[in-house]
Amino acid sequence: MIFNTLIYGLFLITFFILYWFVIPARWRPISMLTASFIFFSYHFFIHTLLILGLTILVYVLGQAIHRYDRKKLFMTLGVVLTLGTLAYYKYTELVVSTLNDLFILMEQSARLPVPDIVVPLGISFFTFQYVHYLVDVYRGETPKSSFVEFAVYIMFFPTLVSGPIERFQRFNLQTHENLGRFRREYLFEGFTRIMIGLFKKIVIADSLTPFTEGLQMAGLDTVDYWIAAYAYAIKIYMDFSGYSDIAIGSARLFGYRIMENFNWPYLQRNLSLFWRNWHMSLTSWFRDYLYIPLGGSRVRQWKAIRNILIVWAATGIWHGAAWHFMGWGLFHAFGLIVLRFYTQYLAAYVTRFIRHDRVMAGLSGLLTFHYVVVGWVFFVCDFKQSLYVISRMFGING
Amino acid sequence: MKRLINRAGWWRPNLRVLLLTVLFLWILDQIIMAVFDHQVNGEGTFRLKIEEKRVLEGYLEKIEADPHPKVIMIGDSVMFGSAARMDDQTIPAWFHQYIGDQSGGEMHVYNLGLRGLGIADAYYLLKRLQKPENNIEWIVYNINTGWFTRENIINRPFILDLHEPESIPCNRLGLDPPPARDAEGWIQDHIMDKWKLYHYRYLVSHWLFGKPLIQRLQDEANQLYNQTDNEDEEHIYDPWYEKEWDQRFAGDWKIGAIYHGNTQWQYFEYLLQLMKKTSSNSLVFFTPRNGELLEKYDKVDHQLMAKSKQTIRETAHKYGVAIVDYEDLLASSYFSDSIHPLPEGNRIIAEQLAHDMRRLLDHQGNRRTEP
Repeated sequence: MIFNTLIYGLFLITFFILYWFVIPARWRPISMLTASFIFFSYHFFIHTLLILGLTILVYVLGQAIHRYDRKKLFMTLGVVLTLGTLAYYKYTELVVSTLNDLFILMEQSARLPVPDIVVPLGISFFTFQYVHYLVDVYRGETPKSSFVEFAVYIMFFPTLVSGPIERFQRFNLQTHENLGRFRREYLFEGFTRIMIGLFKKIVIADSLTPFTEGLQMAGLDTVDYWIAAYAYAIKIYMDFSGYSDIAIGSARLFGYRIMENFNWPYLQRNLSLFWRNWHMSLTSWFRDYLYIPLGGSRVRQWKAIRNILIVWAATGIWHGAAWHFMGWGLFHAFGLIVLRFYTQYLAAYVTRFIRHDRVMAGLSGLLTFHYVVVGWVFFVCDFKQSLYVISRMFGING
Repeated sequence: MKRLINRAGWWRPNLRVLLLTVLFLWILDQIIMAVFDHQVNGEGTFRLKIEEKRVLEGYLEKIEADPHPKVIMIGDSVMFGSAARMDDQTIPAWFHQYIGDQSGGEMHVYNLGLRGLGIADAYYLLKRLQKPENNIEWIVYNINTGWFTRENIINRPFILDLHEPESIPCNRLGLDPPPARDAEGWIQDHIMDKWKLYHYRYLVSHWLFGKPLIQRLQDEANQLYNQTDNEDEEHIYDPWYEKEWDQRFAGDWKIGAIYHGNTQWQYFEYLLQLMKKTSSNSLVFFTPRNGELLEKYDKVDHQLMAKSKQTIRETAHKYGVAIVDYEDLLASSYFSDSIHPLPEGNRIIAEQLAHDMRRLLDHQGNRRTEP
């Protein structure tokens, strides 16, 4: 079920009424689980069983980490299994296609059959929730919970398909709180947020789609490519933040306050701040479960650069199974590395020349926004087209 | 800015806001219906510029609800009035002016012309109006021999949505069977379509932006990226002699031939029968052509054209439908291209139609079919 459909609207209204006014309070978690099951089964029943199977497995491994001594083994096993499932569904096709391309490059006639795998809806999101749960249980940061509580967290339908990637601890507390009475603010806040999200998605993002098509064309003027890139930058923000708004609003209808995903990212003054305010739940996931375990930024220079490259290559490939997504991630890694050097060696000198903080903030905000806009070209076009479009944007290539 | 909005708190809804919103939406619905009613006034000035099922259905419902005797003028872009910028410059609109005085405003005229409306499309569109209580006095149809040689049987598939899917012979029409109605469709039909703002969203969009918004945006984007191919659309209102035709008339094709026995022809026969069944009187006219332009490029096979028209005439007679030949009715200066009359051309056709229909009525018992 996709958010901006009538069937989702009907489902939401029906379940909202049942949840607060028909179902007894103690059955609300079970009813939420059932509703989420119906929500997901609407498209692919078999994938619902997959999530259910993985949820049982991760929960059992979580319990094993709680109880037994070989905690690291159980945690590693869980992480490998869940990420392995993600890799199988999402990246097999990419790997096989890449191997075939390599065979062509090496002038070999061998070709592997490219599998036609249907990717389960939201797999990138719920896999990351599994990993978060397993690692936090391992670290002792997650209290014991019942299976229903964990399953509600994983299968919670507002966030199942496209996040935000909520944390178990926050979520589970609210599952308990929602055993109370209905409060009118749930309806008003949730409804408003959903309306804002729908407006962003349907009115703004969808309307901009025709203007983004220029990025896939050849032979346009510099200005045309910039217009297309700006249109795409606004479209992707409105599309994704609108979807997050609908998710957050839907969750609010049921009393949950889900973490925010966007906080005016295009108004930030540098790339690091942009990423702290864009898809915040994903960025914080990568920070907590990859960047910091790798050593973060407080290590020797080369290691810090290595960590940035690893995290952003992973961020890129998480967004889509194609190499240009990794290119997009590495483009941002490059920007963050430059920012790191600038902050360490140049910032102090520059601020001596430009003393007004507002002017500095404006200029750096503008630069950051345009860096992100150029980055989107890698996100939306394949490598060849990206390089062509970017070169045209800067007046090169004819 | 975000802090400001949050602090203001003015956008947070409460019960009063919700009630006012519902009231506002209800008033909006009433306005939409009032405007639509005003436009579909039986004066032939409403045109189906939006090719969408709900707008067409709404229009047909209004025609059916009109108790006045009616003239239904059905056909392709010529009847629609493609080369007429204003809605009161089409054949049906002019025709209403001619007969309005004589009928004392009793007779209502409706324009069921649609751009690209083929013969089978016209049949399925008219079939929707086939009820005795509809009080249709006349059906007027413009026939262009070009339609008989078209490969596509159905050119406007949304017209088929007016009928139950099982009543459409998809195989014969060369169409894929329609997909089963899913839950989304069910909600649309049974819940959302009760809300007029949603139901007529394409129409409202057309009122506001001149065409459905998404189409408008796509056109703007195409224009921006020089992908536009709507030169014809831009110059359709200009006379033909101000435009370049060499490219358009390149090749050795000619008009005039029709194929008997093909599906197009069968639907023509069905259409004639349906016209007879649906109204008290019916009239077909051969669409006027720009002889000067066609002769310049030698694009008419006169022998075949005469033969084809004779066959069409005989078939119309067979089913008791009157037929008149307007092919040479207009001077070439009244055309936008080879076939679309400019407003003044539409006026002349309407005047001739009024004259011929009056004459046919005068000779009910002893009907002459050629002027």
